[in-house]
Amino acid sequence: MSKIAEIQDFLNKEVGTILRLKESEVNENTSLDDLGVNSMAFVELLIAIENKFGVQLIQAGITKADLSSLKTLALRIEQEL
Amino acid sequence: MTTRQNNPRRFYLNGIDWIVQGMQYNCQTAPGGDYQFLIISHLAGTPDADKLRMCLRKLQEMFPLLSGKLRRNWFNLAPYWQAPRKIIFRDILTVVQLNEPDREQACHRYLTGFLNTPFSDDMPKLAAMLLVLSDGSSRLALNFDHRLFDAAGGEQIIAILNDLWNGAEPDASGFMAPEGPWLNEWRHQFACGRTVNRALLSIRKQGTASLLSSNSVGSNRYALIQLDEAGFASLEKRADTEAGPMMLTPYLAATIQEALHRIFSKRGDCNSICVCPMTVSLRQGRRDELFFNRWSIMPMYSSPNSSHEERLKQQIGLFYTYIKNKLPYCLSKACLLCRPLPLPAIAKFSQKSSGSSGTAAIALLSQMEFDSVFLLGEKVKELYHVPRIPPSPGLGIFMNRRGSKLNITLSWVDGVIDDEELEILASAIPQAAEPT
Repeated sequence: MSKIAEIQDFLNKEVGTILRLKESEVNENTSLDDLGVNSMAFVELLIAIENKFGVQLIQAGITKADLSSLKTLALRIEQEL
Repeated sequence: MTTRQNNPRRFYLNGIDWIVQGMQYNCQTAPGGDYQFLIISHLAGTPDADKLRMCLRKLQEMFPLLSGKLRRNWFNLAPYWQAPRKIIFRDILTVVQLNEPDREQACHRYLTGFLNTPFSDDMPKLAAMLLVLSDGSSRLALNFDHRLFDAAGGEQIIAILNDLWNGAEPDASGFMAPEGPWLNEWRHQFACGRTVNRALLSIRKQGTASLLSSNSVGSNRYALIQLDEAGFASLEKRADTEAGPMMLTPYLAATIQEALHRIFSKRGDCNSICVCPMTVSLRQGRRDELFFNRWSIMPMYSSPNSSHEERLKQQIGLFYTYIKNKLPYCLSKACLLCRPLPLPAIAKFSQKSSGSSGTAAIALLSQMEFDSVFLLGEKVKELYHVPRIPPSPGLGIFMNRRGSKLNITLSWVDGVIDDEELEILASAIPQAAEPT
């Protein structure tokens, strides 16, 4: 599995767990806002990313464009690795 | 790590429920009574009162817990809510026909009275008021006892009431799952207690919390401020720009604290910190979360001397740290250790956080449990929450998202804040939503 695929898989699972969604309900092309992520869920996701990949996205200056979908977020994490 | 138990009428309280019992005790020291909250809907038409009465009776039949009482296990002292063996049905609907010229003022007067009406011991812990206006529209207010419902649970009840109105027969069993007394996780509870203790010590190091009033005894009042679609979009945009993406909650916490610091500065108190206990949801998305309190608290604080940028950064940092340390969850678990204490002691404990129960309570309900456009066959024009605030801290700011709008309710104990100070607070969020 490529690194980006691994990140994508992790994000899909983690967002599903945090938002209590089934895997089929997590669309990687949907924006985090439309998936129902609020401030608390977002921070939970950032902490999960930090624990898994050691990337601190807040410090790295994450932007709204990075959150336009789980795919763009995965790309941003890959850049930071 | 909960344990299910066999007695289907016995519902043990979780840690936050027990703190709520303490807040109920505090509320009863002021005129007006219980720790309760209203959910008010503005309806385009007027639903049939007799049909509504039947649906409310059906709710009492479905959920005997509504007519329950607080008890303690004689052996382990764990408190529980006991559903009665036999339900005595009560009429819990009050219908008022309003023909007064100033409709808004009359509605506000009736609803404030309803907010300050305690539940009688022999009545269900849910009540309804239908205000019928002369133009054919109506206001429906449901009054919830906070010991049994939190804000999201209240909206779930409205959804069930709406289902009953529309002829559905919801299965009540899945909504009520009795849980055990949590006596099998002492080590875990003490470990959670350590996390909470560290967080409280860290706040104490920052200084003393500003208090609006230490001996307020008036009844509760409220004011509603609304941000329309454009206003809320602008608020989110500013929060994105200034605090970063998805950081609306810390942005609102910073905005409210800035307004509070302005109020204290006007009073000549320029040194104390603001401590705002902020409610966060601990819901897991299960069906049986209808009853009891599924939330916890993050104590957000800031110093009066910080700049806007510093305060925002601090709120984001606190938010991040609390979630990383699982403080809200730990608080809910650690509170289980307090259950053997008598209620007056709990009431005192719930007032203590860095020397007080804080400066003002903040809550943001960002998810709607009842999102239907129609309620009881009528179009919903507005839906908002009005919580009653205990004498300490005496002020609360409650926000709920409704579609793409934001409702902000200020609730305060009469005498805690004057009109000029109220204006500072009321204008804070609309100002923070103005485009730059």
